[in-house]
Amino acid sequence: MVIVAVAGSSWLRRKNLWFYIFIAPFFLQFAIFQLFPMVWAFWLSFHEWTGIGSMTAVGWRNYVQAVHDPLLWQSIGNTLYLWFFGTAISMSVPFVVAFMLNSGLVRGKEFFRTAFFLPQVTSLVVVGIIFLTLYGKEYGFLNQLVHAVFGTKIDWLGQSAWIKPSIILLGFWHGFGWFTVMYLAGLQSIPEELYEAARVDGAGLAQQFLYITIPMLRNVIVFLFMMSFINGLQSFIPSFILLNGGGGTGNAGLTIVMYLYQHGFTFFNLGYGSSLAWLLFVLIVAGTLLQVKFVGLNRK
Amino acid sequence: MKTIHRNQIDPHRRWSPVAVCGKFLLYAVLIFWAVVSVFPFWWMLVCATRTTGEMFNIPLPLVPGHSLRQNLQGLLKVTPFVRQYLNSVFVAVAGTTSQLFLASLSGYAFAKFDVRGKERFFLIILATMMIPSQLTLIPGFLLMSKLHWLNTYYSLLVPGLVGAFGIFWMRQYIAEAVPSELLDSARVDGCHEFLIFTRIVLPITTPALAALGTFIFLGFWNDFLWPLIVLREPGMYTLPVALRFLTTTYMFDYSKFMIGTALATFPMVLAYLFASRKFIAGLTAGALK
Repeated sequence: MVIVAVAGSSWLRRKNLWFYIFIAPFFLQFAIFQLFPMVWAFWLSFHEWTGIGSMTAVGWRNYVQAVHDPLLWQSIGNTLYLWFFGTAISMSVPFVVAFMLNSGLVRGKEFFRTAFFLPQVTSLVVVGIIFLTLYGKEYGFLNQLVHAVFGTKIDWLGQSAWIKPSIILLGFWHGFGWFTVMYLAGLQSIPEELYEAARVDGAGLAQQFLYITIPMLRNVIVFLFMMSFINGLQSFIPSFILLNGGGGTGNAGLTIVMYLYQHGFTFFNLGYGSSLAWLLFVLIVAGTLLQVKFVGLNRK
Repeated sequence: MKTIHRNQIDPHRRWSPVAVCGKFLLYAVLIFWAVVSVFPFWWMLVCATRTTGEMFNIPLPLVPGHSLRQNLQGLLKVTPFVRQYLNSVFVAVAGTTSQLFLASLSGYAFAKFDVRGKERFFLIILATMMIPSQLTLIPGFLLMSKLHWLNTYYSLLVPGLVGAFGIFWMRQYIAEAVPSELLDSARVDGCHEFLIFTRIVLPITTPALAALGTFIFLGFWNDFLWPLIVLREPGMYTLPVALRFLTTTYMFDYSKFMIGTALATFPMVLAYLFASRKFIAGLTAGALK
């Protein structure tokens, strides 16, 4: 008995050791390449530095400057605008489409799913480049259509009023398949019996929709919304590619991350860039916490 | 394939002309958007096989042309595209392999080891997924600079050898799919822990690895902002950076970079078309858990 107990406990200790060995790689990587840089960025944000030469400690000046920086506020406004309207159409239209696909009214569900999801397989950079050619003012494909129908040509990427719609359209095109597939999966997971029971009880289509479909999709909707927010705030590639690294006319397409990139890697204001990075982080966390509070955590 | 779970609309009811029109409209909308979803890829193909002159001519060409070889030669003259392609392949393959291995290792540890307080560690891992990558861009760059890793494969691979999402994903799978009795009997037989992992656990997790691998591979292949910052020389660029560089250098000379874009994209598209279900499953599965 004693022998087994001793053998058992040393075996357990060895097992624990293996546990720590197995999970160590992540924590090592996290400590070196995430935690340490995060702290460094925080420290940097209280200094002014261009990467070469000496650093000056400036206390809270970067943050104060940020609060009074009209370009920063504009970039925040742009980002939120792009996110809000992008999410509005991306959450609604694909839902209707998924609903229709799932309803059995149409055949070829698999075909449509494959077609709609195709854009998700390409990188946003490629999407940006393709749309760059489609959005050309004189010879872009879109304007050929627009010209044929409306007799005019839209300066998609040049006119500040059209820059945001152009970006939103790109995002909508790219994300459509993602939202549709997610909604489809959610709709398919609703048991048919629920609908049958409701029908037996005399519930009409609208009531079935409101009291079965929507509640059962709650987790999917919440998840999509939160992911959309986190990704939306980090929007960078579409604007960067379409507007050639700048913010576009009147900085209409300047997003927060683009502004961060400009300060950090074009102007090398490393201190200010770091403060912007932390501000972005706070924004994302605050926004996410707000949503969690407002919506309640997912039921597992 | 008929769906088993349907919404409340019964398709077998007799339909009035109005309803038939509605159904037609529905198909029209769906087919329209299917075309819209696919068209930009077609357009990429058209641009890639036409000279720039042809693309700046009304009416625009709508089918691929004959300038594929010409465009390709033009591209190879102005940028080391083959090398850039290999860079992307290397980084994606190496990174995916590393992440799959380490994610399974850690996922296995969390799933099958009873260590006090292991939940705490797992929560930390989950929490790190909330950290936006932009936060560590500037210091990350400085760190790479100090390590002399700028413009090397190290800067692309080492910070991403292990992924939190992968650990989360594999833990879930291993907890369900690997029977603990199997592991215990192997231990009783005196089997070494690491061997248990490689000989028993890994083979069982191949489906999950395939799905996760798709997701991770695409992540590496399409990664843009970090390579943009740490890669300084066209010879080291990965494809997204190389393509972007081409658009800024050659602005309206489409024939130069659209062929590159097409070459970078079509392998993925083809793989997707062959295995669309697996792709979709892989890319969305984690989200559904």
